[in-house]
Amino acid sequence: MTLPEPKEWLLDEENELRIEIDFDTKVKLRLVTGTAEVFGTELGQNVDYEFSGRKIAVFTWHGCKILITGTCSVEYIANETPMLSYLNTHIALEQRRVLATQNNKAGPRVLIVGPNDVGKTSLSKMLLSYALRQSRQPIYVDLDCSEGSITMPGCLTATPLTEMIDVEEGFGSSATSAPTAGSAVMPLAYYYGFPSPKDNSKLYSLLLSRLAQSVNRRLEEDEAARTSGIVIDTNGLIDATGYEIIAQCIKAFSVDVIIVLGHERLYADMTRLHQKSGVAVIKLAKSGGVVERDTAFRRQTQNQKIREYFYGTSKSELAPYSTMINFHDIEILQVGEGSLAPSSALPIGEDRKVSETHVVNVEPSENLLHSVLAVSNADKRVEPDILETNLAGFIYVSEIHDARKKLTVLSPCPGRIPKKFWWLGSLKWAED
Amino acid sequence: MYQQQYQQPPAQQQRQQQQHGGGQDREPIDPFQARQLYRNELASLTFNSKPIITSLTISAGENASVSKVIVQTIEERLRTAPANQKLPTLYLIDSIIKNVGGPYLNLFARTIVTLFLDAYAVVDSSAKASFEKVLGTWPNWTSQLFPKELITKIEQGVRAMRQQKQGSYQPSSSHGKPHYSDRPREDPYSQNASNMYGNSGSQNRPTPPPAPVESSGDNGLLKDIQLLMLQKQHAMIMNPTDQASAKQVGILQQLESLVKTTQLTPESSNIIRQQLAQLWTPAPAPPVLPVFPQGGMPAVSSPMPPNMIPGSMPPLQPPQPPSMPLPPNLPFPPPHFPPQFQPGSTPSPHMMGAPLPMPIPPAGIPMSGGHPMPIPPPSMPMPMPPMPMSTMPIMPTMPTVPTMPNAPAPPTLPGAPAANLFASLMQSGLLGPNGALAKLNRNPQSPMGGTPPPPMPLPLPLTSAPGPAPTPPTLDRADQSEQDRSVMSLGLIELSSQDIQRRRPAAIQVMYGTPPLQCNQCGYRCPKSADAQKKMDSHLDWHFRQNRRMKDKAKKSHSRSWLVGEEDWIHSREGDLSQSQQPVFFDFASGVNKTSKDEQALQEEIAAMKEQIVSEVTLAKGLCGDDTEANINASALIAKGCSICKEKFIKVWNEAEEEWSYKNAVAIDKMIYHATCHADLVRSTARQAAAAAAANAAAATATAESISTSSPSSSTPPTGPELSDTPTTAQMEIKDEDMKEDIKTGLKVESDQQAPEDIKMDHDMHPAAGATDSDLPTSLKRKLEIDNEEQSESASKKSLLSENL
Repeated sequence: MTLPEPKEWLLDEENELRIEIDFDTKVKLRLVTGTAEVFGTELGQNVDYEFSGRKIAVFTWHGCKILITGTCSVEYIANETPMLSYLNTHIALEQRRVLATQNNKAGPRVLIVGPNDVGKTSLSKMLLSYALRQSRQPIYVDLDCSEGSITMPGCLTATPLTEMIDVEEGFGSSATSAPTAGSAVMPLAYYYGFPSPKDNSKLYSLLLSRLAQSVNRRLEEDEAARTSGIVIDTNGLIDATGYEIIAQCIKAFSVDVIIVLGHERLYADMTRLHQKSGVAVIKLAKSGGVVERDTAFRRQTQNQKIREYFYGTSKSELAPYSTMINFHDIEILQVGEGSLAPSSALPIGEDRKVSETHVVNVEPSENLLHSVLAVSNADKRVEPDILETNLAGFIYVSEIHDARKKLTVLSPCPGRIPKKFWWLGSLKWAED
Repeated sequence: MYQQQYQQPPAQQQRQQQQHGGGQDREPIDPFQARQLYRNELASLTFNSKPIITSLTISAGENASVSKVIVQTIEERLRTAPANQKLPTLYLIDSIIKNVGGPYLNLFARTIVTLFLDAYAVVDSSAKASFEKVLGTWPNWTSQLFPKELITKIEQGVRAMRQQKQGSYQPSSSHGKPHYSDRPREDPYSQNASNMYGNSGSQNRPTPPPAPVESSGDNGLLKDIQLLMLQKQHAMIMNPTDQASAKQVGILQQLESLVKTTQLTPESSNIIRQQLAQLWTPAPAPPVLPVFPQGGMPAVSSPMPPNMIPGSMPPLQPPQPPSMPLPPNLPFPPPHFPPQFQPGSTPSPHMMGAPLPMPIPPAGIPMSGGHPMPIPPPSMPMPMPPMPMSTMPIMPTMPTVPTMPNAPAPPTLPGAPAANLFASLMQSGLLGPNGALAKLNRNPQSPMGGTPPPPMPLPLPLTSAPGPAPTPPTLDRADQSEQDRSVMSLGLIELSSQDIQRRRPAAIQVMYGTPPLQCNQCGYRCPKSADAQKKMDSHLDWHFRQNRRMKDKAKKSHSRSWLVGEEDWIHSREGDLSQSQQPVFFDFASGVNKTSKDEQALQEEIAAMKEQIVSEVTLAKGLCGDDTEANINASALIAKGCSICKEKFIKVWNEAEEEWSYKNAVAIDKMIYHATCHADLVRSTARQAAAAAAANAAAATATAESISTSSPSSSTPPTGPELSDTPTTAQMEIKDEDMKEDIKTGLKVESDQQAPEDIKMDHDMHPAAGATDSDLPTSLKRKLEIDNEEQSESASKKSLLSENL
């Protein structure tokens, strides 16, 4: 086996090596000397890290030498980064945590807002990672339903973090029994099922409140998490709906720090709207390394995410199980949309909004093929509670046997699927 | 020793041959792989084995194209190997430079001085002798191995260490010795240098206890000073950036001349001696000597002692990276630097590092009753690379509060022995306005041509670093970890868009502090705290478990489990690493010991039982019990033998009681047993009960998210409407193939199960049990399943089936 010649990169202090790796290639990265970090997580020296389908920034405070084996589609060194301000932000937050610990108060609750593609998730990761490096146990709240950093796209999640964020896996894989290099996290996930909060803002806000309620309840009990605070990553929505959501977030999570990333007007608005109430509003520049992700890339990331949910990563492979289920043993549900009657058919004066949180049954059919369904933890179908019941996981419909009234699904783990209510969202996945 | 023969296991030889073969086949050789291969091979060099050394030498010769990598690997090995394994690695280096030479000579030459001396410092005395022997062969080798000056340097270092070793002088610990200073502490800078360049070891290895001061009088003291100076000079040579040593040498030179020229009272020489004792390593060279960062001193170009010229430092050290991390434990440096202290205005590292002779006239510092004017340091060294920050003065933060030069130095300030020296000297009156040194300084014959006034107050304010620091009022420092302190010491950063942009080099240090504990498997750093080692240990244990599970991966597949319910999530806590259980094998080991102990006792007990004799009368009584009516023919029962094993009892004549008795017999509950047989039965029953209890406990703790062992299949009972009405039909578990033929219950079973065979199939549930199943809490359900399993384990499948039928 001949390995491609590794390429050596020498980084001066506070430089950043930015690489983009295609989905079908694998690239090995190794820190030879010096120190370096990827989204806040420090790299070990002479440890090989493998990436595929990622855009990565390797930053060094002290200068370093890096070896890269494999072909990257983009690779360059940048010497202008906003890292200094990111680090200062962390220190400021950490100081609040120290004070919170001393006075037995709540740590900082940080809301990160900004338009799409400014590096909100990366900044969240960095701030969380830094906090973890300081032995904190923050909770990561992901309200970006389009991405699904922790579980799957279409979810609102909260995840307590206790161990360092893995360089290769990102936030770690949720609830695996697999030996992963990173941490196995246990997220709390609620199913929204649409890519944008706009698609069903009523449901979104319902779930947001529920999530905040659970997080707050946990914070009451979990002292380490309480003093460490939370970091909330949001959707890139900055229009009227977006502002509403932000306002709701601030209230629901008692946010006391708003970080506006790469958007001057938003910063001005946030300062105007929220600073008076004792909320600190700061703006941070977006990193030059942030690239606009086109729909294709987002789609591929989504696919990768789904694949990883069932099959794991190359480093820690998972074994999903295929199971055949009778149509009538399960109930497939959908919120609003599917049942929306044309507005002309609505009774006069009836507001369409009413049906936004209306739960309807979906008859299993060929339409379900390749869908990713979310398994609700609910045992009984009680509306509207069932909407706000958190998820047990996801299954993938690999086959429909219409004639036999059965469907074959891929389940993440062996055993029967624990619950019978499954949510259908807009998520589809063509398993390859 | 070196030539000692060793029979190498054939497997190992084979492996090495393969590796060599591999090395030749691969063109070009991949440095990654080469490193990996060589490292693996090197790992076997744990004892002095000529074959391994030869093989490694050949390997190095064959792979000269990656000599750099190999040298790095060997250096790394020599540095990291346990003390008792360093010698073989040195032999390997010796072998490579003598037999292969070439590029290796130059590569090793770069670091051989530090490598050799670092290793030499820690090995035991017999190995030291071997080290010296190896060293002895180098200068006169047929070809030149290393430049003469390098070898001389090593020899000097060895000599210095040998001299120290000969002594029995123990640094007195009753001396307010900084209690943390005996913890090995890396010079942050040198550690970082090794990070940066990967070629220099830690420079401050604990050196053997220093030389004795047996002789009394000034001559003895002089000798002490000279010896100590030698040690410090060595430390300096080893690490040119070692500011502490550099300063100490400067101080020592002062002292030396002082002692030479002054008649000291016995008291003062004792005090000096005591202070000297503290300067000796093994407490490795303190990271910094907080001597003169204040009062304009460093800016005044100080006359350098002749042997302290920076140029004389070995050129082997890599150049200083311009901005170095700062240690995390800053005792409250100022929140904001006055603008004039920005990086550009700082003096050069060499300037800072230069030893400052004591009698420098503090030009322009007016003295007022021995209190110096609080002059802002011109060299606020925050962005200064090599200036370790751990003892940064607090002065700048409180420019209006005069420091108290006469305050006794806190004895526990880390890394401040030299400062203590000054403090004590001052207290003793030796140093100070009216002290000996002061007089000396006024003495025109003083070697330095000293000019009054004496600079005495300078070192002192620094030693009071933890003193009246600008503590944020709300802080209770006692509760703070070192880390919190370093975070807070940056000064509260306002969450404003402006303050966030300010450059704070010390902030980086908060993230990359100097805690010496960093996991080499993932880069995890252990925050400095009292239980850091414990945390790191459990972190490594975690790696160990992960790696072990990784290895098991082939055997066992893993999967993602279902997420927990909302309530569980709210109340659950992520497993804290430090609380995670001890590695299993510890429990296992203790378990084994326990069992074997019990086992032993048991055996003794059984032996005793076997020999115990019971008379027929006693047995008969036992058989009848309280029931006097019972008419049991004891003899007949006894004749039948043990009720368990059916063997006859051994009949013996009891001389003492003059009656027939039976060995190992016991009458219990109207039956006669061998005492051993019965005890056995009791034990096994107890064990079963315990197992059942354990199973129950496990069942109780099994939670919903635990992987269900049931097979996911659905069954349709077309002829069983009473079943299909309940949701349990979907949950009916089909457990074995036999059930498929079970037509009578009307369950038509389709095994759509595509899961691998290793999925444990659940045992059947009786329909009744199944009906209640869904209503039960999960934990109970789980228990039920286990119970069912146990049941069916005891009964055969067939009988179960027939029950169903």
